[in-house]
Amino acid sequence: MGIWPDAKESSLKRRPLTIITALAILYAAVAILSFSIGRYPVGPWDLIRILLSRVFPITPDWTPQAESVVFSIRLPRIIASSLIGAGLSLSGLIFQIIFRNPMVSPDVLGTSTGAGFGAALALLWALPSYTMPTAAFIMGIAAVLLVWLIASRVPSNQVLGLILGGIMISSLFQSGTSFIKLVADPEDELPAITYFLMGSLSGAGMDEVKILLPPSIIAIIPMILLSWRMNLLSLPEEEALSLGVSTKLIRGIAIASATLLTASSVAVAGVIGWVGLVIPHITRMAVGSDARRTIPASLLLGAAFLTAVDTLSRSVTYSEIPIGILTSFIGAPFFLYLIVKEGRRNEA
Amino acid sequence: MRLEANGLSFSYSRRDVLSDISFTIEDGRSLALLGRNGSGKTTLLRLLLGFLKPDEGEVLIDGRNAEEMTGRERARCIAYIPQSSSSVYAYSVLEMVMMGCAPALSIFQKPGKADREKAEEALETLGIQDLGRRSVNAISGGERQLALIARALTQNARILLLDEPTSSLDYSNQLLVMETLEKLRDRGYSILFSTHNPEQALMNATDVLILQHHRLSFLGKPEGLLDGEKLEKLYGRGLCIKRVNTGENERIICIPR
Repeated sequence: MGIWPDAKESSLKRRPLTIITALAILYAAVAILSFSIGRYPVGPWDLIRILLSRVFPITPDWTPQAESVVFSIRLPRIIASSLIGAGLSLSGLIFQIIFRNPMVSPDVLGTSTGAGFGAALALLWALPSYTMPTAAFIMGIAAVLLVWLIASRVPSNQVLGLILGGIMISSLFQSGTSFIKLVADPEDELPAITYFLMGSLSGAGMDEVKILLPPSIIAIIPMILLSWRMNLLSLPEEEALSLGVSTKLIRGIAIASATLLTASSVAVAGVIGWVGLVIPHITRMAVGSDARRTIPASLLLGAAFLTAVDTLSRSVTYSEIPIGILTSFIGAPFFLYLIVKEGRRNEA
Repeated sequence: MRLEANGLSFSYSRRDVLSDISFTIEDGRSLALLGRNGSGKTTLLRLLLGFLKPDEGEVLIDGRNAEEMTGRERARCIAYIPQSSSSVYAYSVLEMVMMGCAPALSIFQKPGKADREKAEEALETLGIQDLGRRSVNAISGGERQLALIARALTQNARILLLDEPTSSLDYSNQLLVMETLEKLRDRGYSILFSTHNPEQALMNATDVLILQHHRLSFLGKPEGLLDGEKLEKLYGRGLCIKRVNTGENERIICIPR
């Protein structure tokens, strides 16, 4: 039995393509629902016509406010939540494959805290907003490399090295962020940094989408192209090498992609935890372990999940709940449920 | 395909791990590698696979220096079959066997229908075609070892290197794996396997190589070990080595005195 017996025989017998199609439909449904729900409700019929009006000549009989809400507020926010959800899930999946450990995620490996530190630094120094993703990326990749370095020094138990290294590096960057908060101006910088780090999409507009889109494309396309090769990276190093795989090259591309996805999401929406850990797990349970299927499935499920949670975060209470708080509230107990359920299944 | 080791030496932090090892494996031959823990068996396998660079000597594959070959070229000649262990992720047996197509595909290429058929053919050759859709973590250790051999066959390599292929298997599975290796040898594969069981070397291999104190202490046919001297020296205890007629064939057995 593997460390995490995620794909049972039954799940391998299911039709993965059908599941991926179902996930695509689920995502579309969530997105449409998210367009309609909010403080300014837009009916589904109006919504469809407003969206189609940009393509077909439809005479508008809806209010200009409805059109403005759909195109200026909800569209960029849905695009942003989809890209971030898809990106964080893929990032988690990549880390889990290349570190051959289903318990790692951008949070556990310190990537998120590293990227958060970089973003907080950019906020403290009031750097232009377009530099924030770069600062987040540099610190995010520094965190991963440090954790990797620590784990490679514990060759007898690399999993332990990864987890301990991740805790240590996370704590180091966390302290760095605390120091930034300490020296930040309590009138404006401190609240901005604190709220930002809680994780929120409340400020997501077209500018944020423009920040997210290029790194998402740059990171997702090579991963889809390399999806079958990614399976080989989950084999022990010497097995992969004996199959003629250029492990260093592919692992390098994968780490850069995963870090780029996490860093750009942190730069736009702060630290949103749990998505990168929980979604890849559910994905493997549904479609098995082959990365040709887990990559598209986790992109779709991640996008659907975060769009749904973001819709909740902006509609449940009068003032918005930061999405990072909600993903933890939903993700942590759900993950516990998965562990207990799997444990019982293994005993049976 | 011919695998040749010429005067291989390797040291680690100035400590000799292997010194001046030479041997050849030809088509249709199987070489059993015997040696106590720490004698350098795994290091020798790693040198042959190109994971380590020898301090001295060279590895030749069909006369060509292995160091001059790319990883993919080498993988098309030599397949490595590790000890059977569970996988972190539960791939189906067929998915795992198809990974053997990697050396034949370029970096962005994915296996197609022909590759799938090749993998299914390998499963059939080993008689485990019914396992294709099952998870690699839901089959027995012996079946998993056969699946790893099937992956090596899909790889199209004619030289198979196995690191203690039966170490974690029950008796029945040990016999199954060793019999499979004999069949593959008879089909012309060149096989090298390391083992802690001298009986496997005596019964299932055409040649035996003994590593002792990091040096080659014996290289020859199993019959050359019948007097027991070499094996007694290796394991440090009295052994009784005998030919036994099983009624169907003749076997060499090894039991402690």
